[in-house]
Amino acid sequence: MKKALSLLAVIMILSLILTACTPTPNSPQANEPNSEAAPVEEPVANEPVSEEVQTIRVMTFFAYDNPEVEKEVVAQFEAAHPNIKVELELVPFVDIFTKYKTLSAGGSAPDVISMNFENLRQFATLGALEPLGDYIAKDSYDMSTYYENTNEMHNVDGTQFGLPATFSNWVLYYNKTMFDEKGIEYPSASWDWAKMVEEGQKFVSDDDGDGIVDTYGYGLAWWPMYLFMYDTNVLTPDNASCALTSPGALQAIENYVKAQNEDGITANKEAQTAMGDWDRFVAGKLAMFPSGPWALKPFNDSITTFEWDVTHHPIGTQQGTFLYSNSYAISSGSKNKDAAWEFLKFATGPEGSLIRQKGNFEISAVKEIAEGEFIKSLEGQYPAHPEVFMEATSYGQKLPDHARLSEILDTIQAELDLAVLGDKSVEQAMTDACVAVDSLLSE
Amino acid sequence: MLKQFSFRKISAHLVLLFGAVFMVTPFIWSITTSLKPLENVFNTPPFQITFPLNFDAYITILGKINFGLFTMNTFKIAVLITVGQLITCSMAGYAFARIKFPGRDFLFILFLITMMVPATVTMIPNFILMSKFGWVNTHTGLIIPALASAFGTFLMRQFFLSFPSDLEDAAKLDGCNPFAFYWRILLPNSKPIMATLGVMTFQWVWNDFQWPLIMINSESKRTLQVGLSYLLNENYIDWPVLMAGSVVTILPVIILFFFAQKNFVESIKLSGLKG
Amino acid sequence: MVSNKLKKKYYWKDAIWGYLFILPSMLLVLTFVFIPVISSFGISLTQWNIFGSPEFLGFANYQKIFSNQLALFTYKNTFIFSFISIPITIFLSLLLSIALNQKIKGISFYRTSYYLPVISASVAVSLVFLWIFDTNYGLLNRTLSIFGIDPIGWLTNPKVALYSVILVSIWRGLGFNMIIFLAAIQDIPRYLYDAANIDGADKKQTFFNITLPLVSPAIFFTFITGIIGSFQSFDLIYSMTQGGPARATYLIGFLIWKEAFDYLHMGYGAALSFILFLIILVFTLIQWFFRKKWVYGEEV
Repeated sequence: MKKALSLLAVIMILSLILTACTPTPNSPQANEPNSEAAPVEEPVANEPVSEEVQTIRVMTFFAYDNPEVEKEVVAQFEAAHPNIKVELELVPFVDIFTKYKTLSAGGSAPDVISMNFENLRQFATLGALEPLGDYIAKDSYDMSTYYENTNEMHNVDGTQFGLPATFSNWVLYYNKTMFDEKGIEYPSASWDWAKMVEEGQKFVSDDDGDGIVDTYGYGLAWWPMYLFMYDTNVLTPDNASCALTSPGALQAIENYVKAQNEDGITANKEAQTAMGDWDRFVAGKLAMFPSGPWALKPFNDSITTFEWDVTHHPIGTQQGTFLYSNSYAISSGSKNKDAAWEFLKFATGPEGSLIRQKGNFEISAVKEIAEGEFIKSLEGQYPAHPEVFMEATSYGQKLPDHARLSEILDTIQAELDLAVLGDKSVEQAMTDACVAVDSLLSE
Repeated sequence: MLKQFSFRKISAHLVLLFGAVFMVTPFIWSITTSLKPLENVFNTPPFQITFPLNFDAYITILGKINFGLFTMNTFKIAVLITVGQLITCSMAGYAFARIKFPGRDFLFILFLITMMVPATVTMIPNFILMSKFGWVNTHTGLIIPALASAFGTFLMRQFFLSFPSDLEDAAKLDGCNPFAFYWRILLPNSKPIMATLGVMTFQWVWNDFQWPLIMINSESKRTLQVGLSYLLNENYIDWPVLMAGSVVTILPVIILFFFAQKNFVESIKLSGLKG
Repeated sequence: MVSNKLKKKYYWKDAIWGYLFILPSMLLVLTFVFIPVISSFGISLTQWNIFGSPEFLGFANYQKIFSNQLALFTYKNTFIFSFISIPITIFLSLLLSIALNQKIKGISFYRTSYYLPVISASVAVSLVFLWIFDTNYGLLNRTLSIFGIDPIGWLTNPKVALYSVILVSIWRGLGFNMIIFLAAIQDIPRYLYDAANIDGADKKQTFFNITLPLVSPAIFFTFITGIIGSFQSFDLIYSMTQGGPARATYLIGFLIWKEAFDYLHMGYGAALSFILFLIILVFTLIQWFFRKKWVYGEEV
């Protein structure tokens, strides 16, 4: 008994010590994001000055399903920087941030991490990322290499935290063959929402006569995109309160809900459980489908029975679409920040970007690569008008910069579900959503 | 009598077959889907196999990831953990079930307690612990902490509870110490439950995803489930590849189960003594 | 006097054997499971966003849970889920294991079939069920339509969705419990049945007097692990419904994951877990206390 008890006691004490010291390693950076790198673990005395080879760890989701792409970026970087060695780890997009969070908590975050802009915002606010302002100034690094609005996406309150590597936005993919068969003019930037509904309905049909619609006119985009078409967003521009009860937002959500229920141009929730709009478009049972550049390669690979193209999404009171961007950033706990910075410049700059573009990963944030290689890489393939992606960046918008964005979106989604199900009116659902969101914001 | 008997057998077959169809349907669907080109997944009836058979998804799995290496890694880890748990769990289960010692119930409840907190919240402390041990990015870090489990101990204890005590008394009279009893009488007569725990542990390790994903950084040490996730895209579902992945990971476990379950009938406990 | 002394001597000798037998498990479980559990209890007393340093809050996270509608709603959902799925799963799998204990042809095939759902990866299971539950094209509604039943929104109707998820969880859990019960039935010594036969007991009596009592330790086991498993299950929800529609399928395991890793409220997520822990512990202790009344062998 005594034996067991004393063993227990030792273990309990051990565990308490562990609890106490668990998260502290990261704390200095967390409190003052601008401070110089406080080492994550105990400082090693007399660390040799870096004449010899430095090793940096890079964790990325870029083209993880085609590992040769980022491996080539690293190989060329190492060739250009013989004193820096890169340990590259690819992690699928859906898992990378969970892994990054756990590694950071354990004090073993990689030096360089790929970011999408939502997570960059959250992590930078919490002090996990290194501000890049000083590095940019020191090298007089030319940020105009990249598209201006992609730079902004990795900038939090005036501080640059990441160098943009790629961007993507939503445009309207359409099945040309279906339009030709029906003798309907192709969709264009001049279409407004009413026109979309009118034309979209012409495609809706029950092909096998079983009473269930098989072919639809339009696939739904993620709901916030409809807000952008009415010059509004989830939150007010100052992020102070919920904006979903404004007339523009209500109109946008109304369109989104009606498209599924009354207008019937799009597969409603009932028809979305197994076969999504993506599958439907590939199967030739959907005329118009909003999606991003990530669809280009899979569509070219798997669609063989019809012709397709891309164009601008129809307008509400204005043109509106999502603009996303991914970047490379440096962990604030990194011990090799200068080497990491060199990697950032190379991997996101023209040389790294070119490799990634050739590997068909989204669209380079470097202007010359996007306008050159991206267009060139699609020659002889669909779509005929890839420049639409570049044009659409001019009106692309992003979700609010708020550290609690994912909580806010989940809250709204729950109410939106009720509106789509018809359990609540759009106005009631959005009013209720705003009450919940505002109380989150005031916490 | 004979007629009634065979009627019962036939009806038993019918009921079991009906249930088995429900159980197997999704798996059959996985197979048929894995053999279609993506385009045909929704254009053809689910269970219809379209000819010619399309093995692209399997070629993708074998060609795009280091399938052989990942399988070997996972197999090594799963076998070691399974063997380890069979030993540690049966030992502890025996003690908790049949040996009286002070603090037994307290220690057992302590074991149970460790099962009651979701892995989601213990993941970070666990990872920190592994860092302190220097076991991050090693198979050691995946294997050693899993060599014992509260679940397995609990399972074994429950089964050893109903072991006939006259056998134990007889062994004691013959001068067997508890270890001799455990080794020579208890274990050889517990094949069904050992096979059960073995299958469960193996398939649990085989299918584990989150923890190896966090722990392993090097491609050369990656496990199969994690490796397969690199073939999936977040923007759309590549049904044939997903289903082919599911089929190839299930097959080894099916084979293992098929052979393990024979143990469920073969061991008829000390038939001489009992008959 | 002498016998008493002898008894005591045996007792301590046994005890040492007992400690030796549990030592390997004890060391491993206490180090690698118990320490993280204690640490996460520490975390539950803080506000911690993973990147910064934790801020000590005392029991504020716990207080917050009781005033948070979403958390309470999710606990309620989890109870419904558990109280429906566990008894049904145990009952059906007990029947199944008795059926699969017969000597009939193809028994290996049947056993393997019923175990298949257990070994399938969650993602594959979820996607297959998305397709089975599909309102328009799904296998289930198509079958029902033969009998003239209107399509049901299995996963799209908030009033139905939770029960659909329960159905999947029963489907998946059957094989798991089945092999435990099979092993338990196999463990029952033959001579007990032979003796019962000689005494002229009928099937029903044999079942209630021999099979059920001797399987009771396994039932106790599946009951406890069933509670633990269903309270923590989240991968099915994650890949099947993401908690929707309108949060109808939020289960506590899913909420904990959201709070801890998505919203980065590690402390609050840990507190949600420890409330859950307390609930499971209470259930377990009640079971533990009453086990001697219905679980065979527990009087030892």
